[in-house]
Amino acid sequence: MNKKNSSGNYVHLIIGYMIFCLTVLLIMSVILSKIISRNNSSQINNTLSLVAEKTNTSIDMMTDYITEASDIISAKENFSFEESYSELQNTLRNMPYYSTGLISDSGDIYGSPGEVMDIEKHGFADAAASSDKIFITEPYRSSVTASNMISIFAPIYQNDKHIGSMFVTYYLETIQDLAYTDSLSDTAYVFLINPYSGNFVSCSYDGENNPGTWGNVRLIKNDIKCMGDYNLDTWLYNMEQKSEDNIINFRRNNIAFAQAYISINAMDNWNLAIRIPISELSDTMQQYTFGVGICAALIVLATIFLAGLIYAREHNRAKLLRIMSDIDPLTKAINRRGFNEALAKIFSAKTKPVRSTFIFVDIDYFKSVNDGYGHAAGDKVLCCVAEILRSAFDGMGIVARTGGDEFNVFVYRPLSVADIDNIMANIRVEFENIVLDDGTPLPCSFSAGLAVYPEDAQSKEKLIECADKALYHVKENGRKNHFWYNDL
Amino acid sequence: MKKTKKIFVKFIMLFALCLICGCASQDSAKTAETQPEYYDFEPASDIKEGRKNIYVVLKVLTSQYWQDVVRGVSDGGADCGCNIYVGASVGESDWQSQQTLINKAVASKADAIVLAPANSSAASEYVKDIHADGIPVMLVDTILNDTDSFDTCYMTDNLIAGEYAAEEMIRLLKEKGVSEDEDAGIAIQITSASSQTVIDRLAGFNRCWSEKAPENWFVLDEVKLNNGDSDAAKQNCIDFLTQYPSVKGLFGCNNSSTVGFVNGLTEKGRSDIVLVGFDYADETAALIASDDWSVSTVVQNQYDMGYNAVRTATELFDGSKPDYKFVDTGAVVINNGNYPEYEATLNQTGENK
Repeated sequence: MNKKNSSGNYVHLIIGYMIFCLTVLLIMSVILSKIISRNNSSQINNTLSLVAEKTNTSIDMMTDYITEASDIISAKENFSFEESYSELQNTLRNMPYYSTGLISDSGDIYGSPGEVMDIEKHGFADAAASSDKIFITEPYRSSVTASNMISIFAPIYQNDKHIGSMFVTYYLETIQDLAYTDSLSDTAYVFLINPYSGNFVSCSYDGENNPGTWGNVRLIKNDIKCMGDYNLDTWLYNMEQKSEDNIINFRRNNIAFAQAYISINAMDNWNLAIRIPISELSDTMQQYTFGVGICAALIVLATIFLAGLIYAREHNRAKLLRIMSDIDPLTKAINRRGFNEALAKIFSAKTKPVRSTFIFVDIDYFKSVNDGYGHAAGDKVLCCVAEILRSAFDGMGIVARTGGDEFNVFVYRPLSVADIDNIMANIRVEFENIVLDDGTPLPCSFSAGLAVYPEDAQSKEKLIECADKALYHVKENGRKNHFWYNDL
Repeated sequence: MKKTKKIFVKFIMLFALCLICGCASQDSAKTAETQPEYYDFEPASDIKEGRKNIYVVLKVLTSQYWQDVVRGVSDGGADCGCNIYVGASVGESDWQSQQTLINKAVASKADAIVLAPANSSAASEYVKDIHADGIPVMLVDTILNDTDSFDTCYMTDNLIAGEYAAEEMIRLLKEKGVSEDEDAGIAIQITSASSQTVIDRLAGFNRCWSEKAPENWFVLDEVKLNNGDSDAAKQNCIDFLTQYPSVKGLFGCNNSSTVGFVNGLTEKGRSDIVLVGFDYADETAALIASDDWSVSTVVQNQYDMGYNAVRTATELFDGSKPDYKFVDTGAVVINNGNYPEYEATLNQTGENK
């Protein structure tokens, strides 16, 4: 029983170890996944923020330039709109913007006919007259270029009095150029968005929208599958609140995107937004995750393989030890311990044995063999007896040497009394034909007592006791015979 | 001028004949073979030797809208002394047919081409080459996306037209007595989410709405699509009224959406609801004219697009450079107040249908 416990504990240990390994790997994966996710999010956040800030800073620089230019104009003595407009046109060639002009608060517009038309049509003159700070217009289609443009208006003062505004006009694509980075050149989609109206305007080409194309979030909401609780409404609300929680992750057309906004200082209610496929931002981390997954799988497989190997080796070793402890080294028959274990196993099984026979076999006068022929001859006789019994009950019973000259046989096949009597008669003949190694005949006889389960006894102990009584009866009555307990 | 009108009437009659033939053959054997691949060039003005030839390539000629454009180019040709030829694709997005027509125009040594591109992107590269070969190109109705290689574009600035619609909606709601403190929802219906014209109108509407509408008046998040199906458009109207009891106003971004709203409101007898739509149809006109309903519609000046395109082409022939590359031909809100003023003009082409 100790051996069994030891083996069972060992298996439990192996299983426990494997569960431990898998648990550790699972925990590691979860932790790693969180770290990667956090790192991805952080990386995306940083990249988007950098691009957005870079763009916004460039827009600020644009506005700063115009502020400076309007300050210079404001500082002029003997200022006149005509003269300043003429000077501005002379400098235009070297400037990054498309055109420039002036508006007086009295409503005179100094610009090309197309610019005058656009300023009047979109009400920019009124907005400029009433604004004491620089502002950027919404994108509009220019009458001059037929392209989408934005204009920046800066106030002009004379003697601290607002007298007009200077404006410059840029192509809308300029914003895309400002957002350009080598690494994200083909993947970053830049657009302007107003959370109050839900309108957005493309500043770059995203595969379906050209620069200057307007859209509205109401029309794309159904195409967007947000990841997690942070949805488009939350994103727009945060935009209204100017929250720093400005990144949304979503899938559209089966592509995962990260999208961030940053408010534009000089453009009321409008934000600059940048959308980038997540795969562009986290390829490295995805490869790392994949690598870790492969390693984890290999570790699990290696652990299972090694555990199996160790278990198999230990199992074989235990089996060998067990055999060695259960087998009689002289006769190779199982010993008393092995026999008892075997019987215990048979009688404790859920399915009880069928009709069985227990046989006590005792070699008659074995002491005289040892005394007359020597112990070697005695050993030879014992080996022969064991072999005779094994051959006789091969496939039908278990043969054990349970004492010096004492053998037990448990016949687990439901043989009849007559069958066993025949077998016993054959055995008896075999006993009489035992020959020593030097060819000397050494005929022997035996006494045997037999008991039948379940007729004679319903338990192992009782069965043995019955067979013992039968054997005793044979010995009392001159030996060299076998006797059934039932016949007592 | 009389001759021009005669030619125009002839053109329309010819066109009507084509339509009748088309319809008849459709009835007899509903096969694709009976459909014309495109409407080949036909004179739309007096044709005289020694005059400049302007080829006009439009979209579907079967609608009142495009007939107005034809009328514009025809009158422009008459006033400017040019030969005008008009051809068109059968479908709104049939760029292939337009390409064939442009090839024919180039082969016929067109002095200028007036084009309403059926595909703003696909047409860009093609038009770029033609323009580079020295043929003046005037665009009408739709601008090209990927090139500025054209001379002038005459079209409606739909963002601004959408703003007109929003301003009219606010005015009508106030007129109807909807309080600024009251929750008032606006339901929007469109024909297609991929039509930039419709998207621009919707964006213009929302831009104006977010700036000028009272805080409690809101645009519903759901925008319903009808794909040009009048039954679906009417059902959308009924669904809006059922699903959103707070709806006080309806905005139809194009003709089919507006007519769908009109039919839905009429069926349900909901004259308490305000409707602002786009384009002109008899059903819409009936409600605009009625004092029992609060219905307005925004109409474009498509006649001006055609007329001005031809006029600009003749200016280019004379060597002058246009002041503007993009001209918003504007839009007008037709409502119960000004309907009598515009009724005759609006119904003029309707008689020619």
